[in-house]
Amino acid sequence: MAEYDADVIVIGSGSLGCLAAQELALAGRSVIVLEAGPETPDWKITENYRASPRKSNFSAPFGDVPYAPGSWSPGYADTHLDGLDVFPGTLRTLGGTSRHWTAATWRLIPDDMTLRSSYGIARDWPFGYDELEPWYTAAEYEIGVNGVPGFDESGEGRGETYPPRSRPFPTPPEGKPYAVQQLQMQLAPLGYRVDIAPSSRLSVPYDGRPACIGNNICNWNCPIGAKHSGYHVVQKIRSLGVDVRTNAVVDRIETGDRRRVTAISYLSPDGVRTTLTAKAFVLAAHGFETPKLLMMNAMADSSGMLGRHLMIHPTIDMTWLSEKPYWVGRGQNIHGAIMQRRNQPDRTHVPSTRYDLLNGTQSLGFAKSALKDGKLGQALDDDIRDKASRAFTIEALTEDMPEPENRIEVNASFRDALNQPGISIHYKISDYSKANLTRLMDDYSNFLRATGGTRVTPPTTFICQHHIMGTVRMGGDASDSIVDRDLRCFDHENLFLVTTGVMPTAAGVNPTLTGMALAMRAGRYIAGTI
Amino acid sequence: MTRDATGHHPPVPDTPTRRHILLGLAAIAPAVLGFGVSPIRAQPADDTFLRVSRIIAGNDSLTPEVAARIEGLLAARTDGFGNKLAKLETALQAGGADRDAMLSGLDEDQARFALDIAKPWYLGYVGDPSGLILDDDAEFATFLEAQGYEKVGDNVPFLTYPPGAAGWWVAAPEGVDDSDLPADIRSWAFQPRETYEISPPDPGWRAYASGDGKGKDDGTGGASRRGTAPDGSSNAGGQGEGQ
Repeated sequence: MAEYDADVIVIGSGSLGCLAAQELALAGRSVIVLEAGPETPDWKITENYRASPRKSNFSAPFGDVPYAPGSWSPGYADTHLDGLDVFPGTLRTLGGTSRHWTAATWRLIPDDMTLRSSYGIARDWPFGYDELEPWYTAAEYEIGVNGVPGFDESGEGRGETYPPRSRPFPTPPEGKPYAVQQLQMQLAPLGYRVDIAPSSRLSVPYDGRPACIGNNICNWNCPIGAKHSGYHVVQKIRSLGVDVRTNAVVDRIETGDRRRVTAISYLSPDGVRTTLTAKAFVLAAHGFETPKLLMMNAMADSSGMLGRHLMIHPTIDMTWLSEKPYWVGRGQNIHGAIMQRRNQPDRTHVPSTRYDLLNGTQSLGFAKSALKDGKLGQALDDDIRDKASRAFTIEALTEDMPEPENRIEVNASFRDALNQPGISIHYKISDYSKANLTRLMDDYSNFLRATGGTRVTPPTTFICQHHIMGTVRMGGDASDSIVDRDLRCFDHENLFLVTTGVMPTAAGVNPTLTGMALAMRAGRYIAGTI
Repeated sequence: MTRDATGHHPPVPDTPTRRHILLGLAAIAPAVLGFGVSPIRAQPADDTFLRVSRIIAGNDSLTPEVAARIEGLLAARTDGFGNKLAKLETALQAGGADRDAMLSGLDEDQARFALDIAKPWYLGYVGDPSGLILDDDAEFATFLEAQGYEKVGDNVPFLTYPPGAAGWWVAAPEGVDDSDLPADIRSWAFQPRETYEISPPDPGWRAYASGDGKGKDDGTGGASRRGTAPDGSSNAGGQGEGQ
């Protein structure tokens, strides 16, 4: 009988957990992946989307699983929000919340990892960009990122590839929709540079996945698998012999002498408990569930920082009607970006920001507004058509500060079908993020001016992204961090946390590619330690 | 968005206000969940609702099957539905043969009822769907016959039903003249300028943008529409981006 059930047990089947598992399996280690939620194939999610009345709700097509609720399940999240009334939506399903991302794949630039050294704010990462670069490249080639040769992601007008990359983008650029072509020409005279937004929505077939044909529900789940998600890595690790178990709700972590995790156990939906042992354990259960599970087991918190420094990328949308038609909604959910506000000298007090050019269908929203205004008949039809043709929305994704008061806790007042708790979310928009508002209005006024635009939604209301960072932050000192540079828990030598929750600062770009790079790096590292 | 409630969520989320219908579908295995779609009911005794719907939507291709579903949803949520429907049809018929003429003759109550019928046909649902918490009173009405999509369907495909192979969206939409765009515009490598420096905001446009000013007629062409800017309305059906 084997001494352990596996070399490594990975808890969580999202992109990050599965990529770590894949590295371990490729290194010859035996791996079990445990997923709390069910397996629901892409085709079923597509059908659920089509038949849902909640077309604007990213979590709705995945349902509300009574034994594996997500953050938007009723009662699950007890929220204490200041400055916004929304919070990230998470999924517990095979493939994880990566099932409902748009697949934006930005790299951090070196300054993003040295905010303290470069700008005197927040903190530096325990290593620099150069150390992460090979893993960014590995992640890009794993998921098929498309981009333009020579791309400067910094927005600083460097005129050369930046940040440095060891290999070019693995796939050619996606098609640029007419709407973005028109917008690019409108904004250039006022000094705004429109660029491609690298993504893993495939431009050509790659690694068994087809090219994107513009289904335009990227954010809910790609119907054809052109968009990368953890679900694709699930298929790959199964072929490598990884034991992937769904409907396995981990609730207990046993720590023996406290320094080492000795076993974990999980419940099936009908309450049957299974206990497993391994040499090492990877907790890859999202930026919410990872700290929650540690809190439930009174672990990993000698620093008192567990669950703190929550960052969620405060975001503000701005919409206008141009003189000229755009007809957004043709192509993917998002195409292109304006990067010039990403890394400016005043980042000491004004946050990094990226403008995303959104390309979702807008006609239903305008129909709703027109009906609310009492319009009927041809006036209604004309209004929908006119506004849907001329509307454009840019979202400003804003860097937030890692502040200890922004945190998650266990919400014991909620109990799911397996008597497991929910989470409490405490988040206040920081003064640093608010400092962006003046600049956003300046830029919005320029967008209006450049397009002969009519104001629809000015940039005044904060929402947020599904990006969850900081809750199990990485650092060089056990007194103020949860994991070290190798994502190993300071308090538990064979426990590794693989989640964007380890990111000590948020930057102004989507964290997932960074999380993937960290996951693959951690997987390789763990394989070398056991 | 994304987004996109949030995490990312639509720019203006549909905040849940009622919690008496669970999306949860609790004890059913999620992989086989239905999503609250009302079954197509037996054909109603007459096709009054279909006739009225076709007038309101201006679309003679609305199907009896979807009409039956929507009629059932509305009847369950509307006191005196049958009487209101009969009176509405009578009023519409009195208006003549033209759709707008028919609708313009409705009194206030009839117009409100016509809007109640229009909403599921245009938006595809009844109730108030949540963009955040999975708990609301919304029910599915239709997707492929939703007029909010149909009215722009020649240029914007129904979601999940793209019309071509990868990159079809690069071409200009039907009826749009793109001859003013440079030849290389379709390439992401193309840039209209060699260098970029963002202009400071124009005071008049800045005031208009923030809602502090009345706008100014500066000859840019924007001023004429500024007076009718639909402030406060929103692309509520759009979505942000997430993760």
